[in-house]
Amino acid sequence: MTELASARLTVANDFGAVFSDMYERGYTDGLPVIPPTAPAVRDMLEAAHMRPDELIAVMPPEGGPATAEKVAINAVMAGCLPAYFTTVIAALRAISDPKFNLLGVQTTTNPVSPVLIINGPLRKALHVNSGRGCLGTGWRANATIGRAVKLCMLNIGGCPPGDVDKAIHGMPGKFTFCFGEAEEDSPWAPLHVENGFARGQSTVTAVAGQGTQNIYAAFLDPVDIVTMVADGMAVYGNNGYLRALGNPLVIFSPGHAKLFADAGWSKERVKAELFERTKIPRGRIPRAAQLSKPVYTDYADDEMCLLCPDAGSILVVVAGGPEAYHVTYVPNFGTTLYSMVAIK
Amino acid sequence: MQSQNAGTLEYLDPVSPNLDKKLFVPAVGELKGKTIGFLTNGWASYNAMGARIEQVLRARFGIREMRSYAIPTSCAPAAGLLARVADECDAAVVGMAN
Repeated sequence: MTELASARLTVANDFGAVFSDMYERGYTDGLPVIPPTAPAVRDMLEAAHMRPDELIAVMPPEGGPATAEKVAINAVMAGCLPAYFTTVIAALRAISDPKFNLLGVQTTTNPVSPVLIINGPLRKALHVNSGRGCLGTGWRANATIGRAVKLCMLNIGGCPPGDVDKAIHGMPGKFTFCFGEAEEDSPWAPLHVENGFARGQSTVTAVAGQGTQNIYAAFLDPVDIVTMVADGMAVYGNNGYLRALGNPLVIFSPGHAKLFADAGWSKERVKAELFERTKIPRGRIPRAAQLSKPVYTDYADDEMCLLCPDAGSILVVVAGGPEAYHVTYVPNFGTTLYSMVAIK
Repeated sequence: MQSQNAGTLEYLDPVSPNLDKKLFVPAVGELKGKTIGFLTNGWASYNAMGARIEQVLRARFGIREMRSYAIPTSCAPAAGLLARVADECDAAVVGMAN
């Protein structure tokens, strides 16, 4: 039997009592959790053929070691099935890539959290929703894989809200934010293939997202669609404009993607059209001194402020219901870059 | 569900404390006569707080000098800056929030 090193805590054998005990110790996100009993944690580890002491990452700000055992405990709490565990592990590796700037994501005043995008065949096997309502409720894989990562950030990273997580308001995506790409319904190469992975390889991509902005762009002409979407993205209060950094994420429905493709537009062209239209002249932004110093502070009035460094930095993903009605824009934290990891 | 007896349930602690504390550096000790550095990422609040901190460090702790080093907002310092700070200061605060 796999030996587990974590301390054992004993409570009354009652789900309400277990939740209250874990809540009062600060172990939860405020929602009920599944008690991480030793058998449940072993099931999680065995599904991924992992040793309990295998180190996945060291998580800031506290520097807690994310061993497979500790990750499994948090995955059980989140409600994950054992089959999800390799995806949770890959997601932790993704957010632990230095370019993701997990320390900043954990402790900033911004309302930021990892957005996890699942690609490849495992997405179907795990029933990750990539279709209608993929950012909403009702799908165990979407809900619990994202939640497991967040509980690891809380309990292993040592980042309780208010004390260490200094988000001014936070956002609902801090509970969970995970979906799949609707690869079968997209006319374009999916995100992982665009990044050099084989179509048959499953991956997790982590993007530091700041909530969702819905843009109702029910046009038939691609120019009208990108014009409206770019106007929705061109909010100079977004962090991207502070330093022209990061990866803004745009989620088009299969219907919108088909409209673009039928008009001969590649994904690269969509990104380029969006990038050009999100440039904002410095003169539109107040000149008064700010509490911090954005990169555009000393620009001339006609100099352009950029949402991100270049068109290629915009991430375009196809997901959601089929209609060409709504587009979801996920603003970026700005000082992070996305990270993609293969699921083993 | 694992129970020690019918009335209790045993669960595993999800917290993973940093036991070796490798992220932390030794305390600087006595401040008298030392040079203290601050990396500032341009927040206006530092202008007021930095001046006050310098007053206190000089008057109460007798430091020799306080130096501020500008870094970009929300970005890591330029390559080589931390080495320069380490060379010029006895101790430094390198990770201030806003």
